[in-house]
Amino acid sequence: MDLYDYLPIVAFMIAGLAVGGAILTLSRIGPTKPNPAKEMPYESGILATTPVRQRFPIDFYLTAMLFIVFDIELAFLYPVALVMRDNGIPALVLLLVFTVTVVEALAYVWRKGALEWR
Amino acid sequence: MNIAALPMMILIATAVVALVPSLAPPGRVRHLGPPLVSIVGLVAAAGMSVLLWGDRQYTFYGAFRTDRLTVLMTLIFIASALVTVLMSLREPATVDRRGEYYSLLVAAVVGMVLVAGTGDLIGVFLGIEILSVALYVLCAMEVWRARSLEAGLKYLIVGAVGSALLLYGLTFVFGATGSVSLEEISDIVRVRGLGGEPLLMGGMALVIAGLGFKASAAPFHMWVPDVYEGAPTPITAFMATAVKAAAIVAFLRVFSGALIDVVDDWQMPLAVIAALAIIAGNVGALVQQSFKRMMAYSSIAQAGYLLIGVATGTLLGVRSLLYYLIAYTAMTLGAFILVAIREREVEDGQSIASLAGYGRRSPLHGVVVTVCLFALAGFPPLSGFIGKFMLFGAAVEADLTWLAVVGAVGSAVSVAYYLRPIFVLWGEDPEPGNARTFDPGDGLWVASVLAGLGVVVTSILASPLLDYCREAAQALIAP
Amino acid sequence: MGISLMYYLLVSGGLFALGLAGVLIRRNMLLLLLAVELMLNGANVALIGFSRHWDVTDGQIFALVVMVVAAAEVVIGLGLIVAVYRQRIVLDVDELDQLKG
Repeated sequence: MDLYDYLPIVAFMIAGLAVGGAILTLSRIGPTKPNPAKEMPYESGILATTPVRQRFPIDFYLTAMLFIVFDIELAFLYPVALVMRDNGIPALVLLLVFTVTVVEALAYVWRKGALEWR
Repeated sequence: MNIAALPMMILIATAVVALVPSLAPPGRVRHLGPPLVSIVGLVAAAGMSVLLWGDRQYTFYGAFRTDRLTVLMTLIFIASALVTVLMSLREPATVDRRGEYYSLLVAAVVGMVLVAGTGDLIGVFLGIEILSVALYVLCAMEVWRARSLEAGLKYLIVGAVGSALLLYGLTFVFGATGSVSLEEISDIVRVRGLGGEPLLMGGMALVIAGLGFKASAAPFHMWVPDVYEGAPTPITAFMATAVKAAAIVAFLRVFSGALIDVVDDWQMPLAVIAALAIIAGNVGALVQQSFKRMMAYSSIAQAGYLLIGVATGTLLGVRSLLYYLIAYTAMTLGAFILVAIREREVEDGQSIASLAGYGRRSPLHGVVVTVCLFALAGFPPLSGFIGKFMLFGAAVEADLTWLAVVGAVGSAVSVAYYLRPIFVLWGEDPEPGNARTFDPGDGLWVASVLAGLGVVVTSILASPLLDYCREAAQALIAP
Repeated sequence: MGISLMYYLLVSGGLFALGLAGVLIRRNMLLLLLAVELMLNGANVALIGFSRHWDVTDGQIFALVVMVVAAAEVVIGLGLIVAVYRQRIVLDVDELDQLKG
């Protein structure tokens, strides 16, 4: 393979490091006169009013977990969609079996109240 | 599509349906629905499997093969699951979450059947993972008991590492051959002569390590006693039998099936692991006070005996292995019956000492456990003896005489710890009548009878069974 | 032309080794799960690489299956961790010692 194709990326990385490094170095060289206004985060920053490291309520984890499972399971639909036309009815039946299983799991979770925000 | 995958489809449907009754309002439906659905589904799948005994059939575009080995293994898994369902009926773990418990149990069987009949490497990994993920949850089912949770978490971490090793190994096997289909791999390895090819060797080493974790063979066994002790007893019995059988059949499909032409490359590592497991298991079991921990170490040693059959790489070895697997399933399930009862009666019901005098109180369970332990210790004419004898014979024939010697010595040592519970069981109860009595119910009674019958039948009908086992082994290795 | 197989394997081996090291060194449950995830994804990279090398799609399907399995494993892990958390607040594996003996 030809590594030269990646030369622009390397050049870009070097340029990025150079600019960043230059700014950091220059800021150390000149005289510093700190005042409260300069120390504040700016542009998009709102001052933090609560501790930064918050504990998430456990329900958040529960919802996130369920999301991960149901989200990833649907990844199987893409390859099936690709070969759907060639395989016809059997593929459709298998797809239905899969969907019913997933939906049943969702119904179970729902019925057991895991989706309620307490 | 033909009907060869029907048993697996029935099992999937069972797992899906078993969840439904538990959504009903509290009452009989909710309580008895899931186990009933599971039993019906398991029996139906077993019946369907028996009908499929015959030449190889392909389903799912070759991804699933139904041959005699698949059928035999499916029956072993289902038998183990049935006894587990019966043992679980009054298990506290199932009280509040019957749907999940039975559904997951059947789902684990689906994974095992997939491993047994898989046509490609994807199925090996997927099947092992389906059963593992279901069992992580089942181990931790008694969420109010710290030990059960701990067992689940430990099993999860160790099992996940094992899965990752297995996956990386399978990846290398795929990389070395360029195919995931087990049959194509077999052809490619033979035609290209891939013996000693580094990528394939690395892959095989990783697969052995990964499956070694799942089969709980030494040196990958450190987690076994803790997990077996912490898990609910029926689940422990299930893990010791069906899960081990699934890992062994994965070994068979990958090594004895697809990679048989490079047998010289994998025979010695497997033989060493088998020997280590026999030594570690038998020595570890000697000092245990808890019956469940003792059985855990015993199951490590048994994994070693079973791996002898894989390591031989011969038809005779695989046949003996399959027979021993059937016998082992029956005797191990039976041995756990008493703990499942005793645990509910006294605080330290897991300890061997707490079995004192139980044989006289409940002769049926006492006799079954005694027979099972005798069979595990390898007393003639019981099936355990026949199986071990055949396995060691196969090892000698495959020029692994040293392994047969290790096995025989280990087997002799094992008599010591298998006999101890029997003496305690039929001895005096030092403090009679101070325990509350637990009514084991019909489920455990039936489970006990089934396991006892299993041991007796496998012993008496050894020669027809061995014929079936040879036919199943021929699905793997041409005679 | 593409990236040669060797680079896939280097990245894959790196990820896998990193994950394995993490499993052996780390003691926090969440980080252990993370490390296992790294191992699985290391294998995924190798699968894709081999798939391209041999010009077959099997490896990609395998990788897809692995992704789903990995998600299921992590969710089970998180679920168990939440259950442990509800019992007592210890997420250090060395302190899970009820079963020592």
